[in-house]
Amino acid sequence: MPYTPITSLPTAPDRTQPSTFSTRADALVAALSTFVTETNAAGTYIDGVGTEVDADATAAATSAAEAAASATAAASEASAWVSGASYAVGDVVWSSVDYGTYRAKTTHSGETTDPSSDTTNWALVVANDLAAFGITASAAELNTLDGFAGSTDNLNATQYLSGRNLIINGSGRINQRSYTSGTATSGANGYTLDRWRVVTSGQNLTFTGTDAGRTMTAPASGVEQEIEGANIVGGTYTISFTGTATCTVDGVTKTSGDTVTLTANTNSTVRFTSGTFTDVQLEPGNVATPFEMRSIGEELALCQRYYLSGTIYGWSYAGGAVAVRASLERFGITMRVTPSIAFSAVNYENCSNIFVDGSPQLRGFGVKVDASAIGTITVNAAYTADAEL
Amino acid sequence: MNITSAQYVNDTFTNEISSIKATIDGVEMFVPLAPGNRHYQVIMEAVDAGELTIEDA
Repeated sequence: MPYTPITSLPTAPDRTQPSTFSTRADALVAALSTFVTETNAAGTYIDGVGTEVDADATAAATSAAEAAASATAAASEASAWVSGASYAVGDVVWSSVDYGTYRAKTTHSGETTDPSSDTTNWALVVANDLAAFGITASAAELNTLDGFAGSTDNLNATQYLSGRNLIINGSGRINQRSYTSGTATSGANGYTLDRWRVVTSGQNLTFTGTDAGRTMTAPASGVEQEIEGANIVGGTYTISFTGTATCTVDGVTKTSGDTVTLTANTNSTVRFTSGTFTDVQLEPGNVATPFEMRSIGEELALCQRYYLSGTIYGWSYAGGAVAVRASLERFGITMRVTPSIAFSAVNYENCSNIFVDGSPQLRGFGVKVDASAIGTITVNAAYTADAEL
Repeated sequence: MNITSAQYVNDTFTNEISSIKATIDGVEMFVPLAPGNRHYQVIMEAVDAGELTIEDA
């Protein structure tokens, strides 16, 4: 029923206008009866609207309850699938084969294939086990992955952390000594490519390749690398390499992939004899992982803990024929122990006899020369600092 | 390693022994008096064995 507006009342009488006062007063009183009737009609209208609102609210609540009941039924109260029955899109059933819950993807009838095997007409909603979602790992395997505690048959994720290889320069990329392949060493344990020393004087290391990686060939008495004990925490380690050489770890013959037990904080030696070798890796655990290819800068820095080279450009003023400080050399890293310093390719001007001022230090050394006379002196030289094992 | 000569070097400020100037495997070098240094170890082994005498500075 549409709302009917209340009729406006006549103009009210005014005592300042006596000529119209009576007429207006009579008209206003006469209109009051109609006003009462129309006011009551408006009240009835408002009351009716309120009743309709109440009815709509009740209906909405009923619909919500029915929807919730329908959702519950679909999710947890699905009926058992019946072979050959008719189903509409959205219908939910459970399978007596795998007890999973399925929702119809198509409207169909007469199908005799169980929903668990009928991906054309049914989609899995709730599975009875993880396999239905394509996860085939066992509970034990899932726990293994969760705890990163793999066996020899499983992924051992901790071994893929960087910095796991105790061998430095395992592919022979660093050659600070500019060692020429095949050069005979002049003493026992003569160093060649960084960190690799030839055991017997007069034998040599040969190699092919570039700074991107080299294949080395060990002589009969061997080439070896001594690992600093401070880097060994102890326990089971795995040795791996590529090549034909015979490998020993602390004197025990090992093939690539073998394990070895190392003692904490004790030096260990890996030696190769009579054959080729490269990509040498000695890592914690009992699984040989792919060779850890460090950046060339990182590999060089690791080598420089044991050996480094540099150039001196010294200058000073001498008050006479006396020893004067010509230069102060600082290393970029701290060496393993106080190094031995050797000079080469020395060029003097008004001086001679270059020598280390005081003792070499872990991070550098001072350079002095004997000045010839009063005046400016200069000295240029190459140097090496050796803190090898 | 083959040591063909060894001589102490004095610090020019304190006049105390600060290193050893040695020729090892044909290379002249200044070896610190550091027990962990492999050249120093070889020099002292040779001295202890009576095979080497380190000359005064």
